[in-house]
Amino acid sequence: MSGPLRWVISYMRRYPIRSLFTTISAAVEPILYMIPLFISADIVGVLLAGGKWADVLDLYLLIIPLAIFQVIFFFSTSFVNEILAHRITTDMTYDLFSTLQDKSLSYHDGKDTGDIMARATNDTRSVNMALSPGIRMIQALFTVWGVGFYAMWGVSPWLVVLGLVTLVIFFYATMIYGRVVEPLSTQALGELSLLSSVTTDSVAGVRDIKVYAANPLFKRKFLKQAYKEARVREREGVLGAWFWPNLIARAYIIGLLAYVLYMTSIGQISIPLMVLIVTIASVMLGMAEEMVWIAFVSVGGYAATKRLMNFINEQDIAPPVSGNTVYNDQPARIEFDNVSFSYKNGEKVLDNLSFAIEDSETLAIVGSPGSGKSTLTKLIQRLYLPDEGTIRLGGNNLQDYDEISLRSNMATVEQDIFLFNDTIMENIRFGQPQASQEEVEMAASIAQAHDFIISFPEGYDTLIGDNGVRLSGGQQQRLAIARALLINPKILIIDDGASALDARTEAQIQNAISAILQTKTTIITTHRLAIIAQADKILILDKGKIMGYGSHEVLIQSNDYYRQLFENHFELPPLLEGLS
Amino acid sequence: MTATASRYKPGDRMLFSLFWNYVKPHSWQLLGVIFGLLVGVGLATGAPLLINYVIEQIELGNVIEVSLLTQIIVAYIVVNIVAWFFGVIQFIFVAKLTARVIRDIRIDAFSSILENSVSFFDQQKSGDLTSRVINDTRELAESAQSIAYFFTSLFRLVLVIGVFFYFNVTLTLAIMSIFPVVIGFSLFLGSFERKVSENWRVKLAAVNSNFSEIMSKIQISKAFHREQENLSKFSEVNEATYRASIKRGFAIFIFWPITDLMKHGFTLLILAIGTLLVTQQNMPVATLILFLILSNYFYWPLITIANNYHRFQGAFASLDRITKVSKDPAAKEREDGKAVNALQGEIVFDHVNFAYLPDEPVLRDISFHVRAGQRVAIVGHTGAGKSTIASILMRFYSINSGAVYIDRNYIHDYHLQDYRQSVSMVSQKVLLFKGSVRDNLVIAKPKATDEEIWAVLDAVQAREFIEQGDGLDSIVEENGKNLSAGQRQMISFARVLLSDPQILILDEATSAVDLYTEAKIQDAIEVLLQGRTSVSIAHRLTTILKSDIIIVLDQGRLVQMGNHIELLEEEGPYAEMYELYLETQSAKYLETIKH
Repeated sequence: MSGPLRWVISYMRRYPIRSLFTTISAAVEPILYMIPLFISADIVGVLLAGGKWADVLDLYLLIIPLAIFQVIFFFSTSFVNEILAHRITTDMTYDLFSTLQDKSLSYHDGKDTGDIMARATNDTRSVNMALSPGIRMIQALFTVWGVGFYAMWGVSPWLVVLGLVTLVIFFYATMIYGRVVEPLSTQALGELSLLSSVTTDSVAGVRDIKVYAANPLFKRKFLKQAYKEARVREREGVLGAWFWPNLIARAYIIGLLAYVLYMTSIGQISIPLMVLIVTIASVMLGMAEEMVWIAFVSVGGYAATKRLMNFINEQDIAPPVSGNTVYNDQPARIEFDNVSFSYKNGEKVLDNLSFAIEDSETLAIVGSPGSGKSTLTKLIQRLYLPDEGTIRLGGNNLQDYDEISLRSNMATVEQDIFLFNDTIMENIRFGQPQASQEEVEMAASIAQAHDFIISFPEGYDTLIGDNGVRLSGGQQQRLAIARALLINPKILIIDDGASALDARTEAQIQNAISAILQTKTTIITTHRLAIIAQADKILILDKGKIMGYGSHEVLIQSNDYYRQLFENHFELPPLLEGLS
Repeated sequence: MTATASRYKPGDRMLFSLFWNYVKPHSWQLLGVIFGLLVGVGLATGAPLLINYVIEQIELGNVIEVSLLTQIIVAYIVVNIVAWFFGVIQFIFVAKLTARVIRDIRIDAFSSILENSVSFFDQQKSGDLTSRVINDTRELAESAQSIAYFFTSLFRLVLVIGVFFYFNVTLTLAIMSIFPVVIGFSLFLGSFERKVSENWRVKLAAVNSNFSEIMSKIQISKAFHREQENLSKFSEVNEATYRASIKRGFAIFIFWPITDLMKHGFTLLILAIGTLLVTQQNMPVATLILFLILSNYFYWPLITIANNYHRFQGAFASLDRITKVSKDPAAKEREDGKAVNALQGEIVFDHVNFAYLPDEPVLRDISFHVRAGQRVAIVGHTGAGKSTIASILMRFYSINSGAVYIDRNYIHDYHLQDYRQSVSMVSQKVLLFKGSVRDNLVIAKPKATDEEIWAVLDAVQAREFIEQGDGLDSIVEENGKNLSAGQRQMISFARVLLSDPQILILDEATSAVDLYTEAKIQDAIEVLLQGRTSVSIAHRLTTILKSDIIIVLDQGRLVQMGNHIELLEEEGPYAEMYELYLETQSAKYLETIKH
């Protein structure tokens, strides 16, 4: 049995009762459906023998409760099958979410939201459609043919043997057919993933699209991909339409009918038996016909299952680590020991860095764009692991700490602020869901956010929209600061976290947190000279290498780049004018 | 609950005509499906007739010659292969029809959504929009072929009714009394299915949004160790979808037992009335038998129509969701207006009031006049309304009262696409698209040559890091996540240089770039600002000092306006801000805070 099938069965095993019920009832229900055919044949027999209405009445009366029972049975089978299918795909979606969430940031860097979305919704839907009615119909096919064989046994066991052989060939052929169609199904799902990516990408950047009146460009991009997807779908459909295994089933049924007709004409088979076999044969053929789309949907489901399974099982190039050491009283001293790091493309972003930040010190990192500032802060957060060298925290390797204690002692105000489409309250207590209203308000006050929050009619319950789109840049940043402060971490990382603030607000925040910062190790990347100069240590990065490290006093006298940074600013004539 | 964009509700008739408009261009495929169905029906009924003939002969006691039997069997084989072939043809047409109709719906939905206003997007979850364009369209897959089933069933129904009327009018009329029952039932079930399907789609979209939001912001969840909460929140929406899908499953599958029961009732009806007619009106028994046999040919097309109708309703819940976001006239941007040849760049705000939400005024009674070619700086604390002015100039929003004139015409009188080609902006939050560096730049100028692109990249000091990759073919990941914020800003700056607008809006355009790099970019900005109107929103003094006009905003009001010297003399908020700025950037300040 191949992987994807086994994988699906492992999900079915979680729901043994439902699975057992569907499996058994799907196999039994067609029998109920076919019993009336036997009774009808009997009726024909009675009538042919000159029977009257009264003679067949009992048989008719037998059909009615049977039919009612069958109808109810059919409903419960199909309904339970549907529920089971949704149960399984709901679980698969959950597992997909859970595994993806646990994958490393390096893994996620290479992933597209649109693609992930397509898998989480579209692929699971394909699996769903294959599971219901897929499973049920395949089982029904076996049962119907089985009942057919039972009826034929009376005519000739050879018919049954021949039928079994046909069935085997039929299924083998269906598998070959599946193998032919599957690549196209997989490709179609892939193309839809790409289409989904184009959509998420465009919707996320719609404001920029509008700035440049670039709508036509993006429409064309979408149109091209939509056409591509449709072409693959068409090819898949056209190929799927030539369901030639059907001809095998038809050949058998025709042969059977011919044989039965011939035998009847020479008096070897009674007319009731012939009627029975003819009617059953038509049901058998009908089931084989249904296989056209059952097989098609199943192949699609199989391809989707495979895609999902591969995605879930995909190797994480740098799996997240978590040790057993609990971080509580260790000094928040951070030491970089010959640390190098590169993203997937292999280019070194950090090159052999060694330095140390003492407990409760503030480190400012400066450097031009792309010099590795943000990357360095992400390494301290253990979002990425160094390729070479060691990062130590409180004397232990950073990788030895367990996740929970480490995270609860570290908070970050990130450069690209990620806010969620939820209330202000929920956004601030993102890292501390149990925080009380007072604690949240306190953090917001320090971050100079409380006043603007309560100026909204709905205060802390205000919904801020996708990515906080309903707030100004400075307001977003202050929420992010409040979110980080709420954790009350030992280590605070501010990655250009005040760039959107005006001087007054920044000074206010500065005043409010200066007392707090006394007790925290702070790493801050910024372009604000005041903050830089205020730091205990300054680290100057250029293309991933340390170009200077030390206090403001030392660097201003010794470091060219650092001097330039300040000189540039102080040279401005109006500034001097204003001072005088 | 999140805010919904509007109360727009397309009616069923509109939905149907919309859907028909998608199907119509592919009527050849539709006809192909109908043709396949009709031939298939003919052959499927034709084949049993052959068997019927054989049985009749046997019953009559005629000996069938083997040669005749052989002929019949050969005929049967041929009929079967032909039937299979037509099945294939039908399947092919269904595949083509479905793929094309869905493709067209998707393209139309996407294109229409792109035409929606920015305020529309402010209200939407992007995951939800994607879900509508990609997944909801898929639920319409069967609807196109449903039309074919509907027509063929109708055709068969009319045919059988004709035959019925020919044999016995009373019995036929009695049989037709089942119409209102079936129609009433399918209407009821249809509206039920519509409701539960809609609910299911809404829940599914919630899964989609939640999933995409968490995954696209995974970094912050990891940094705050939020995985467990995320998972339990996701589980909630996921399970809600499951519950909704059970209801929908019930709506779909309850159809069959009920129709089966109705069929039994139907047969009894024929028997009862038939017996009555036979005994009291001398109707031949053969007619009753014919009616009984043909009752299937009457009942099943009727049920097929009913079934297609209620499945259609389920699919229409999806079409409804797509249409709500793509065809809402209130969400559209105004597309008409006069063409723009060359803007001079004069900007007048005349008592402008604006609010995103009714009770929260963002701009209050703003008036100012900027002559063509002037440089304007807008300063103020965060939340003062600076970016809102930029958005209004970009025509992202319409103002509530007052007027904005560009070159003495109402801003909204210009043709939108033209207008935006003359006005450009570098925004605070830079968003780059998945693709190459070149792809990201040509957005501003589709026909730009590589030389032009390199020229602007040089101007913003971006050549070095781009050359380190694959040059203009360097891959930019979704949202530019493989670039640093500063690099993204540089690319965005280069993009606006390339677009060469008459009015340029810089909203914190260099906030993520260090002072050293910014100083180098300044030269490019100088060149760029020559001979055009510019509106800069900045905290950095360097930009402000060079402006002709400085507008000071405070909580949505214009509190001061003038050039640097004038404003300093006024000793108002600007002077305060300036002093504070100087203080925090001065050497003296550095000294005081260090000691």
